[in-house]
Amino acid sequence: MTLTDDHILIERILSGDRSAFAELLDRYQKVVYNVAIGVVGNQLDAEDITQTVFLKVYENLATYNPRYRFFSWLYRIAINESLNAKKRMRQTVELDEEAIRTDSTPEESAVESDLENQIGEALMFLSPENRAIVVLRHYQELSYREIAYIMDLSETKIKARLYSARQMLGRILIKQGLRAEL
Amino acid sequence: MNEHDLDLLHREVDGLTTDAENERLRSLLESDHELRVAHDELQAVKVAFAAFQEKEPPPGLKDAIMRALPEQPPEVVSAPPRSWWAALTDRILTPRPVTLAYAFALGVVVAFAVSTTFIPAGNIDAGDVVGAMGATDPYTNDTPREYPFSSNGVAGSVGVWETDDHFHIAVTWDAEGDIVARITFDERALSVARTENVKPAERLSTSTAPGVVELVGSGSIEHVVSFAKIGSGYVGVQIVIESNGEPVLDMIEAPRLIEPN
Repeated sequence: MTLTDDHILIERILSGDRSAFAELLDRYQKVVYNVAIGVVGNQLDAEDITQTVFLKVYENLATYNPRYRFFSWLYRIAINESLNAKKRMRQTVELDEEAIRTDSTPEESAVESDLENQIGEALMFLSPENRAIVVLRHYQELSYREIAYIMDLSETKIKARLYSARQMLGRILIKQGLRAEL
Repeated sequence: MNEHDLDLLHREVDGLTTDAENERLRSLLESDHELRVAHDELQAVKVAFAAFQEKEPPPGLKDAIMRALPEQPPEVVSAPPRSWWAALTDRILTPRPVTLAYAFALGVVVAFAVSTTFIPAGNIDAGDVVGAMGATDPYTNDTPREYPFSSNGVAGSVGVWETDDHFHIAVTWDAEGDIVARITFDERALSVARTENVKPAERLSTSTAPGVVELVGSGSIEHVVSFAKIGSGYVGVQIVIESNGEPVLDMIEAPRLIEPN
């Protein structure tokens, strides 16, 4: 898909063509859903977030500035919504995470799980913002520049945060026993 | 292990290293235990992410979203609302009460555009201005973003850059007739610190009202508006440029919500 394709779809949606929005969903719902999973850590909340994101996209499509790439704008809304959802859940989540931190080490808390579960668990030890950066870089394979726009931070800050987050993740994964699988 | 070596490790994870760098890395790993530990950690991350499979959204999600869409098509805004941040609060991001404002020192920063095409270097001396105002160098923070426009016989650009304490907008245009540039902002978050003609203007009037800075002028204009970040709210601006009442540019730049501490 190209930038032009997205813009054509958007023009159709703005002119009242709902089927164009269905096409937009086909293109991007999986991306948004997976970004949300990466940030909030579970599929149920990710489903709610995805729905909210696309409703907001629809309602605010007229404010979209075509000078930006559509998917960057979409990612930005998705990340904001995911981080906000995470903050709303924070009290509960922090209690859970605190329990993990105080009752056991990451190594001890890691159950027998596959790599995906391991990385999912390890991600939860990062701050939501750093988790979002890691998700955008490694799940979505976005460039530092794109992540900087989405997160509204400089590329330098993105790089510093990503480096720090990756090292922390690496230490947790190795404690979880990933070394044997390398 | 030094920072350069660590950077090399991370760039290797990102797949950005050259063959020569890979060779150098292999050599370093043989001699530097600390670097090897860091390497193993990053390789663990690489392996774990390589195993990641994107999840398929639930089958009914698309239909649920389509059913939840409003009946009417998205509203096309012909004239942008002044309080765009309020619309964002209501419609894009979760509303959050402003309960605590924090104060930044209102040291005035005069900033200037960076791109030589945007503001020619000969028109302003950064060192003089920045030094005179006792401000920090705006270059030390985020990279300026530039948005050129050309429509209805008007050519120009908008440049935006930001420091920790300030948010700067540089507007340039070249037009025979009157051009109106209207910058609206969230007063909770930003306060106009300074507006300045970078280039002597043939005719330019500047007016400020709560939440709005308006520039009206003709000829070759280069003007910088600097905002101090003063509290919680949206750090960002809406910029509308009109020629003969017709918009030639309508953009919202960097609406980022700063929440109360």
